[in-house]
Amino acid sequence: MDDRKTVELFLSRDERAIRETEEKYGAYCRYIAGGILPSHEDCEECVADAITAVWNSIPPEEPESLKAYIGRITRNLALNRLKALNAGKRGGGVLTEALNELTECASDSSVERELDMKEMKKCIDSFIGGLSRKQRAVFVRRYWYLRTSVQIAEELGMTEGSVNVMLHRLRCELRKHLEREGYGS
Amino acid sequence: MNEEKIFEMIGCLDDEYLLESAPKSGIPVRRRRHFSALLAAAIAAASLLTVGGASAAYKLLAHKGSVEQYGISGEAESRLIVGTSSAENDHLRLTADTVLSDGYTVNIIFTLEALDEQGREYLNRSDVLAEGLPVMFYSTKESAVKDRSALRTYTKTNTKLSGGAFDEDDSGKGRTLTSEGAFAFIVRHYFGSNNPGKIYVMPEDKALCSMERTDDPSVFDGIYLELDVGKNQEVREFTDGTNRLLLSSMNITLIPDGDISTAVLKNSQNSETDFLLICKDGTEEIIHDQKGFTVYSNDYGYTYMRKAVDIDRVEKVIYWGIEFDPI
Repeated sequence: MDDRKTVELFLSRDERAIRETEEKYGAYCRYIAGGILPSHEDCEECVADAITAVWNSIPPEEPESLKAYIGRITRNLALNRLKALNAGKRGGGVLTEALNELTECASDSSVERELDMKEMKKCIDSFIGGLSRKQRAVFVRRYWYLRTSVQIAEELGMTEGSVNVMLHRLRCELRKHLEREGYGS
Repeated sequence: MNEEKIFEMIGCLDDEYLLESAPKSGIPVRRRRHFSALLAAAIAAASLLTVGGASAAYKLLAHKGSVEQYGISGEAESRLIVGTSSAENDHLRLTADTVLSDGYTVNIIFTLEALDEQGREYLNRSDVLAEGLPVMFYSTKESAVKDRSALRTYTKTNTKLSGGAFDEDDSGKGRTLTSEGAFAFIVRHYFGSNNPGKIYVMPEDKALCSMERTDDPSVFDGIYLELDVGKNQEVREFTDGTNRLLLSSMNITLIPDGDISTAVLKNSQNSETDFLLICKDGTEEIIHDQKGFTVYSNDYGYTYMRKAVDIDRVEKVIYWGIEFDPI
């Protein structure tokens, strides 16, 4: 069943939509949540919550890509759950590591421009769009899917060292890109 | 722009790039060259112990060592270990070493062993070694064997206890050990008041969790276990005057009562303290490293012990500063 038909099941409040979504994208959601949350139990609950959230949000939403839609929801729920599990800390584990790495791209400016979602999307899309397919895969898996460099190396058939070197270069490139776009120091 | 804003910006990435970078196939196998220190310790410990006639299930040293890692030994062992079951195909053998059930929650310790090269390759996968593997619970044999995806009843997860699988040493020469290509893991599941008494268990190919489901043959095809998960553990009840707290050797379950209990559960997210067992001899014991219940809802909350607990020694349970006394 393609996404359009599954979305139509959601729109008509047909509970087969839930089963279809679990069957088709449950593993994808577990990949996302499993990379963020420390325990399988949290991961499973997060995936269940994500499917529920999709059920509750369609309608009125009508996503073009159900996979991307549930993927984003899963990531947001997993990050929120991680923050709750590590209340008072920065988020813990993979999130802290990723944020620490991204400080290399941050500016020293004390004046922060307010960015809306549209601006942010345009800025990151123009950066990602300028990368090679392999660079994109490494960057997106690290900072969107929050995979570790060891996991990325295994998944993409690279060495951990080459992943780390590529990520370092990409962070430098991102910093320059942000400066060019007017978000730097 | 600070790093948190940059991270937020990355979250806005276009669907096209998101999907392009999503995993489309299984994670490549990487051979593990060094023997697991954990399993080595388990084997060393087990070799010092006498394996009794009643412990036929522990004929493999790794099985015994696995269970001991969970703090089950000595007198507790004879009380806790209730039976085993094993199933295999050409590649792998799955053994349920121990089934511990307080009626509400079941804890099952499994050992997975490789029987041929394909099985060893599976166990050598870095994701399996790092994370263990999901195990599915089914309510009927038919749903387990004939139509796995459509009729699954419980999605289960686990924590790996020990592991160790290798194909060669640093010189490239193969080694032989009794427990080569085996690891143990524990699966926990909360049934609440809906314990079916009996379940059918099948492991799930780890690869299927990393990509979209396919109809490809699984390395676990044909392996399923029929397990009795009815209550086999003593349970003691405690109360704070409002809520019931059930204590068994492996689990604590809170049965809340109305809004007050819900508030207690919510508070667990923001406290620095955790469960504390006050023993009759005056000693205190913190039961695990986590904060609050592992799983909770308005109807229940449960968590599990770091080590099996002798519940007869417990005088009082303190949860987030709230005292629960025996009923």
